[in-house]
Amino acid sequence: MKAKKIFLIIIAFSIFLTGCLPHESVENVALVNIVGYDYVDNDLVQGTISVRHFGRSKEEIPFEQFLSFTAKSMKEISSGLESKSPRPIRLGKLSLALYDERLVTEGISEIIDVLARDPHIGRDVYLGIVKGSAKEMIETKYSENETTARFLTGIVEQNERNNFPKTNLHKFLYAYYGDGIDGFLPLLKLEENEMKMDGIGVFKEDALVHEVPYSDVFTYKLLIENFNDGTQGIEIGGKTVVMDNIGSKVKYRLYGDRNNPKFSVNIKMKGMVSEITDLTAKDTYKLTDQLEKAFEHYHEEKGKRMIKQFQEKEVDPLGLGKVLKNRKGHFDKEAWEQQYPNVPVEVNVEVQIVETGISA
Amino acid sequence: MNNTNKIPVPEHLLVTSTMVFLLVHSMQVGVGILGFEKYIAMDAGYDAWISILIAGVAIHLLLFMIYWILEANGGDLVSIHTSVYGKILGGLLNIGFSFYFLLLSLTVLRTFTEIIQVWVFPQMSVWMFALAYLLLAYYFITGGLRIVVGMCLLSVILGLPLLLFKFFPIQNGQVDNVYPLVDHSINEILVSAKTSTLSFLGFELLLVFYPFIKNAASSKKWAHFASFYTTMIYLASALVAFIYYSEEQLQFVTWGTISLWKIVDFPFMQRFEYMGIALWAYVVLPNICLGLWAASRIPKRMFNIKQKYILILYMVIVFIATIRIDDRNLIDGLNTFTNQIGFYFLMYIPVLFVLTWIMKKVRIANES
Repeated sequence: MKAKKIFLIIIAFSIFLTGCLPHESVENVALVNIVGYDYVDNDLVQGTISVRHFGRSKEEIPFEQFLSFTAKSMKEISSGLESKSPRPIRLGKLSLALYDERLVTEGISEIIDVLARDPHIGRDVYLGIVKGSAKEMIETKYSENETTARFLTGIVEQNERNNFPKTNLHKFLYAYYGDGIDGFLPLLKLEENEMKMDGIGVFKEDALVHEVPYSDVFTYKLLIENFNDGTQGIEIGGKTVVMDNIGSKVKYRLYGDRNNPKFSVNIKMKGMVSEITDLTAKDTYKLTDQLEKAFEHYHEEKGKRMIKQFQEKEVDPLGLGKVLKNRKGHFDKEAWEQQYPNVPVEVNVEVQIVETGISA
Repeated sequence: MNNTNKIPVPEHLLVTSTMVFLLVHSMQVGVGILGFEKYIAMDAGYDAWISILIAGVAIHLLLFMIYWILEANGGDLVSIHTSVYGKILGGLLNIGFSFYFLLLSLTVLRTFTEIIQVWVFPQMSVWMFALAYLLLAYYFITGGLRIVVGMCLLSVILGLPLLLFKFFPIQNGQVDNVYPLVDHSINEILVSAKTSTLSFLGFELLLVFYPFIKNAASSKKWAHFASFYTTMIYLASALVAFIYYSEEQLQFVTWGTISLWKIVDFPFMQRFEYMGIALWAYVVLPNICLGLWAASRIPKRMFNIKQKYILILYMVIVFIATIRIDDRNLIDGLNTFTNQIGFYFLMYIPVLFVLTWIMKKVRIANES
């Protein structure tokens, strides 16, 4: 009996003693919400972070602090930032990482590696390219009652639910490491103290090589994924017609053999007309056939033109190489890269206008 | 069947035949499942799902052989070895098996400690964690096989909901990746099948705990169910990993399944992997218990000494080894070593099967 008791005590001790590890509560650490990196010169990179400090008592109001440090390597930047912070910096709550355009054009493999390696960083972190300075974007005050971090993340999140395709760290790494597919990230821009989503940057390996302008983003998203949100307006005979997407599906078809592949991208979209800038137009539902044709034509042309551009720049954000690899096998990366610029790609769009709103 | 060497085990220590499901399944699923995707995809790429099925079938065959051997001989591994090889050679093989089971436990414990070090507490001292864990294991093992089986039940139930979270990575993945096209040669798929069999290691423990099963004959189907269930879990895990990661990316991911949990996102909770790792502590515990139990049971049967003393000796060995193996390279080496050894032990089962079969033939011929 006695032995058993002693034994239980030992177990209890050993269990409680495992709790004797350094632990940190939110009040004692600096939780980073945004990091931004700017190109300084060939060697140097400037890192900026936004840190949210939580109060130790009720009276202390949580505040946001911005820190910057310029150094050569990522590790040096983080230790430099640490030297400016009153509390240890922790990256666990990171939600947005920004890179300035110049840096991204040079290549960001080193910075991405830091994010990929650290077990404390989530895979749903948003990455973004900043036209201009990332530091400036982080340090601008946008809203009185929201932190900059939450505000910026909100903008990206909201847009990726609508017209922008979904991106996050995982999706970027997927494309970065994968053969036959190239990554893309949203482009952000600071305009008169307002941040806006300005398009999409397409990568070759780890460097930015191509930009899709904002006006093409909706069509781009149609090509990339299934979704049921977003709006796009087009001009028909001098009138603007706007359609809400209520459900689009994209399918890739592959014809021909491994050496002479032919792709066709088939998009089926259901939409609702939400605006026609012509009050005299009566019986809009009678126009649907005409409108459907117009939208189909618009997206097909845009899609084809966009893919042509990708082929010219030799980037493959649609992952056509991956489709070929998955469906035909024996994928030869070099041969594919040779043939990619001349591979025929068709775009077929089928638009069905389901409703035209509650006024005729 | 002529159960000539039947080992008497008191009624109150027996486990019902249904429990064999838990014993086999929970020993098969351990730390391996957290990172096996990378290794099976190394040779066969995305076609590795076929390899898992091949390995699953092979395991069913081996299970069939084990049951045949056990039923033909009665008794357990020790008595079978003695009757097939005699005292000395049989004894050596028994010791070999004992150390092998010990090695299984060590690998599981050390790998799980590493996961905690890398993912959760980098500053944690290994010996403290290992000591706490081993003491816990000691507590269960001295309670007897029935207590360990209870722990297995807990681990299976706790591990189940984790499967539901595979839904999140599928949402973020490309289903096109698992397009049913076989792109690799049969050879490559077989190499990968060999790698996958290692995920199923542990069912050979049946050789040791067989005498503890009540109505052993009716436990056969449960063992096969368990093995089938494990195959399905591995298949599902592999397919989800293939959908979520691109083929080349997978080679950069050390623990595929844990990294998958990272994408799980609830409004009230992020970073699900910490939860998953914590729950996995329960999945790993019966694994270590069963391994140590079987390892210490063999010498007890051979030399008739108290199992407790051997258990303590073995635990000290595991404890010291856990502390001495202290970096990624060594741990990786330990895993590779265990897998190699494990494969040979699996290959040994058909050999034993053939020998038992011949012996039985000879015996029948002599009797008539």
